[in-house]
Amino acid sequence: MFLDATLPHLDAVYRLARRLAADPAQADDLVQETYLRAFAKFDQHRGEQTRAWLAAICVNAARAEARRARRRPRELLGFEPDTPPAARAPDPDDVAERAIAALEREEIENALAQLPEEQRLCIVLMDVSGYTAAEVARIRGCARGTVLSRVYRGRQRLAALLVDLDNRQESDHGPA
Amino acid sequence: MDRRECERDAREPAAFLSGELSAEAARSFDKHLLSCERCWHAVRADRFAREAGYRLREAPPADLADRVRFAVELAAADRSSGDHRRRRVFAVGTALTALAAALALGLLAWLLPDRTPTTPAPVAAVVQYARLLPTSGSPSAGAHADRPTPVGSPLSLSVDGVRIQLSYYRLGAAEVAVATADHPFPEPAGARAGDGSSGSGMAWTATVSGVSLYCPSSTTLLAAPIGVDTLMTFAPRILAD
Repeated sequence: MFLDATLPHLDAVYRLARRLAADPAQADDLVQETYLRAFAKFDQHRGEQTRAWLAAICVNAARAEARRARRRPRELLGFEPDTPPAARAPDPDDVAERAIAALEREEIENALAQLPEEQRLCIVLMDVSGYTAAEVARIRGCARGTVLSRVYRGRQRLAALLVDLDNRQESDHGPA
Repeated sequence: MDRRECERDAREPAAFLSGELSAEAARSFDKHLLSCERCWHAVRADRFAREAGYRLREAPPADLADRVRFAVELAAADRSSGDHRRRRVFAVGTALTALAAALALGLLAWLLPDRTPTTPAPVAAVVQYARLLPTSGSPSAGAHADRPTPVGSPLSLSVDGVRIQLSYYRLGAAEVAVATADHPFPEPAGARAGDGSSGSGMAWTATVSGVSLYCPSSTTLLAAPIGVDTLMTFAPRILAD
């Protein structure tokens, strides 16, 4: 019963855990911990929005693990940049597809890590893990409009960081 | 339209790209995009970042579902043999007469030894895994088999902070679980040194819930629902494989 209801959401939980944990092995552990916590509370679960319910447990488990390890979680808290990224809007008309194709995963991860926590978490939940804004609102305990606002600001900032990175790489490798 | 002139809600691009606007609002915003440079750029940046996020999507490892399933089954077994059982006995005890309560206490006394509360969690996990193995009909037949054959894929598990990799092997008619851990396996109550005398040594054997355990080194544990002596004779061939 429990596994029938929850295992279909393993992909989404894993995608989330992968971004909340420092490495793949810790992501596996976090997924296991999420399912064990969910199993322990399954009697109280009303059966609706199981996918969002699991994500909320996963986020809380990641926070608990971070507290337990007495270190700042890489993805949940990350580091705040000393100076905000350039406020200019990117002009991606010509570069977007090419830039995305050229970006390494690590570069995207690094740029994502520079976003404020709530913006980053909303992007991780919606774009990386595949949750809807309504589900993210439930997971984070805030209004759907707040989620959309955070996602919007986070994406604008992320795009600026990535386009800026791409421009720097281009100038590094451009003709002398 | 000049960038400063647009007074639309800044959340609209995100809602638009997420397909969360109503059909009418989406049409309106779509039309607006043709004339508003600010929103046009915002939408392009939003799409760009969203697709970058897609790049970070990863499929879970192939064995993760098995690992989760096993961890949950382990927790379920622990719950049913522990708290749940005691709770049920307690509920029955309160509902019955004094005579029935006495019977319930007797039942409790009968149940508790089977719970083996002194079995450390990592060892209990290996025991639970081994209990899923079929009991060999003729264990001695395994002793003469040439080579152990690995069955299925190894399963990884984390129990009380100990990472355990579980594999199992078929040797003749017997099947044996082999667990390796990143920390030493703690000895369960009643463990005996590997040479058969009591006490703590590097190698130990034990029987928990009908499963024989043999720990030839601190981080390796063999388990099977067969006799301890038979398990020990299998160990060199399995571990050499």
